[in-house]
Order: sequence, then structure tokens, then C-alpha cells
Amino acid sequence: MRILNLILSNIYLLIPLFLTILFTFISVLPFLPHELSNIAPLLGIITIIFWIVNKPDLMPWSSVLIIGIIYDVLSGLTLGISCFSLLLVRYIIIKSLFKFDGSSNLYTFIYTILGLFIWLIIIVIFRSLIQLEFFNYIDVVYQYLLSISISPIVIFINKYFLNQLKT
Amino acid sequence: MANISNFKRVRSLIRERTSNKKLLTILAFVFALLVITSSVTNFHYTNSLKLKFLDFSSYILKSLYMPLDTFKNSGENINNIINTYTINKKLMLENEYLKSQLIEVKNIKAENLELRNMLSLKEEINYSFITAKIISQNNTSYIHSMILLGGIENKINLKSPVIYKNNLVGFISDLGNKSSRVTLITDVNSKIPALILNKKIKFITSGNNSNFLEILNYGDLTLLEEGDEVYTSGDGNRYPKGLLIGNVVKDYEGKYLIATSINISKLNYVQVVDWSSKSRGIDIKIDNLPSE
Repeated sequence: MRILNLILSNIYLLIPLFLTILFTFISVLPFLPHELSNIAPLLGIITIIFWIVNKPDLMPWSSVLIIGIIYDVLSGLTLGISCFSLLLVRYIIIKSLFKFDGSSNLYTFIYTILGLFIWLIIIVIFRSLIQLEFFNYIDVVYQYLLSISISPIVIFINKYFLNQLKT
Repeated sequence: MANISNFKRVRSLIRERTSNKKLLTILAFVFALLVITSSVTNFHYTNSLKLKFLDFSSYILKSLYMPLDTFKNSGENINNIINTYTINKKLMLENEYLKSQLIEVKNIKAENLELRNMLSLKEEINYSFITAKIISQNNTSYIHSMILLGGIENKINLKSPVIYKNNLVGFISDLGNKSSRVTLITDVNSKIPALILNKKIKFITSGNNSNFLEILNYGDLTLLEEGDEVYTSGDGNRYPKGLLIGNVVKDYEGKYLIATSINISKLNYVQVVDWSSKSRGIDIKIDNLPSE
């Protein structure tokens, strides 16, 4: 009973993890028109970057690994690629967080641009290395730009939940 | 001074809260690299884990997809109601044209049958298919795939061709009990032996993670023209013969590409062809055939 109470009283700590998983699932749903469908915004990745920047203690290594595996399974990537890229994103952001206080919206946006760049570069390198084949990289750039332009909306949604957590 | 002390406080707070211990960091990276290595070298073990998770996530995807699908369809339905008169007029004209085409097809079919009988040719393979619902479409810039609600339990086989009304969509690349993954023809992993009817041009098409397919092994393409229809040639036993892949288009550099014939993002259902050797009457072991 005591354990159950402990879990229930701390369940709010799992909000960042659940939110990221939810956005990851949404990002693989066919909600965009055909012309934009192959450059769908990386909603899950933006969410994870938001929480790494704003509440790094609620987005530990274990959560990053779980989300990475979910992303790999849903997208059909080789298992572990997303884990590695997300770990690298978290590592670099946490390292640079010592230089900035990443609580403002502007800093969160800057970190999102950086995080998405690292993520896409790692994924593209791994995918090209494993397949031993090059593909159309222009769409990667478009996907990056579309994700950046959509990110303020995702940041504000997550900010709402962050404020709820604080209160 | 106050700013510096505040800065130091933030630094120590982040350091403390993120538990950015070196050992933990190294362990996490080692774990990720181990998973990648085992996925590449010991594919079957990691794949079975992946498929179990895919089966589980199909329930979540299905429940998320339903309201989205209703929302998407309602927009299209409203548009259809508004344009009923125009659509009906267009359909009537199309119907008249198709009726005349049907008579022509019947004649060609009868002629073809007669010629086949004269040459004592073996009949073409007639394949059956299973209809499966699309629950996820992951068209990112680095991978083109979709998840279907149907797997081993629905008698779907690995590597089976996936079609939509005789248009090629892709092939089954991952197969779970309740769900399966389709690698689309636009994915970089997709290579299809193709031909252009009447011109006897054969080539291999390859996806490049965009909406267009590339033409590989350039031979004599002088006869190739914009608008030519590209079909599967059936070579290599991977896909049935005569499925429409797309139309030839030219890019701004004058290079020939193939635009896919169907708008995959508008599909709700696809047909998975039963392309197993058994169903085709093949009783000898051949490589690259869909598993039983």
C-alpha cells in the first residue's frame, strides 16, 4: 500500500516521459498532406529537447533510452540508432546548459535548433553507413526547417505542462 | 558579482539534478552502441523484440488513428457534398469512356487467350490478397514505411508485395503477430525490376527517400518519354508482373525519374498479396521468396 501511494504521489514526475511518448506516437500518424508527408515535423524529438533543457532531472538517461527504443520501433530504424542520437543530444545540451540557464523560451528554441541538428546528422550518418547507400538529403534539410518552424507550438504546449508541474 | 554567484548556483543545481555522472553516461552510450551492434549482427534476436513491441504499439496507434481518420475524412466528405454536381458530371463522362474501353479489353482478352492456346502457354499466376488497415505512416526524410494492422495471425508473409488496386505500394519488411511494417517503394531499400509496355525497355527502379523513384542501370533510354507508364516486370520473383509503379517524369536537370502512381498518404487500406511459393504452385526452394 505504501509503495502504491509512493508511486501515485510521484506519478507527475513521469509527465515528461509520457508527453514525449505521446508526441512520438502522434508524429508517426498520417496527419500531413502528401506533399509534406515525407518531411513530417519531429514532434517527439522537439518534446524531449524541451524537457532536457527545462527539467533535465525529469528526463534522465533511462527515459532517453526508452524513448529512443520506441522511436526506433515506430519508425523502422535499426534498433539503437535513435537511442544513441538522443543520448548524444542530451549529453551536448546538458554540457552547454552549464553555460546558459535554459529556462527562457528563446533559449529553449535555440537548444531545439541545436538538438534537432545533432539528431538528424547522427541518424543520416548511421542510416547511410548501415545501408551503404546515399539518398535524397534535400528532404532532410526541409524536414529540419519544418521541425524548427513547428517547434514554437510544441514548446508552448510543453510549457503549459511545465507550469502545471511547478504549481 | 551577484550574477556570477547566481550563475554558479545554476551550474551546481543542474549538475546535481541531472546526475550527470561519468559512469552513467558511459554506460548509457555503451548500451546504445551494443544495441546497434546486436541489431546489425544478430538481426533475428533484436528483430523479434522489435516486433513484439510493434504489436503492442499497434493498439495505441489504432486508438490514436481513429479520431484523426474521422477528422480527415469529414473534411473530404464535406468537400464531396459541396461538389456533388461537378463530381457526378465528371464521373458520368468517365463511366462512358470506361464502358467503351471495356469492350476493347474484352476483345483483346479473347484474342490473347486464343493466341495463348495456340502456343500452349502456361497460364499466368493468379494471386489472392488480404486487405489490411494502415495505422501509421512514417514518411520521414530518412525512412519511408507504414504500419499495417495485420500480421502472422492474418496469414501475411514476410516480403509479400503490398498493392492498392493494381498499383504497387511496397513490401512487408517486418512481420509481427498482429501488425506488420511495409517498406514503401519510395524508400532507399526498395529496388524494383520494371518495364515499359510496348517499348521493351527494362530497368531497375530505386527509391531515394523522396516522392520520386530513380532509374538504375541505364541502358538505351532513347525511347523513354515523359508520361510513359512504368510497370513491374516480374523479374526476380519479388513482385507480380504488371503492377503499375508510376509515370516517367523529367526533373529540372532533364534526368528521368518516376512519379509514383498513387497518393499513399490518402490511403486507409492496402492489399497484401499472398506471394508465397506455395500459393504460386512452386514446390522447389528458391532464394528471395517470401517466407512461408
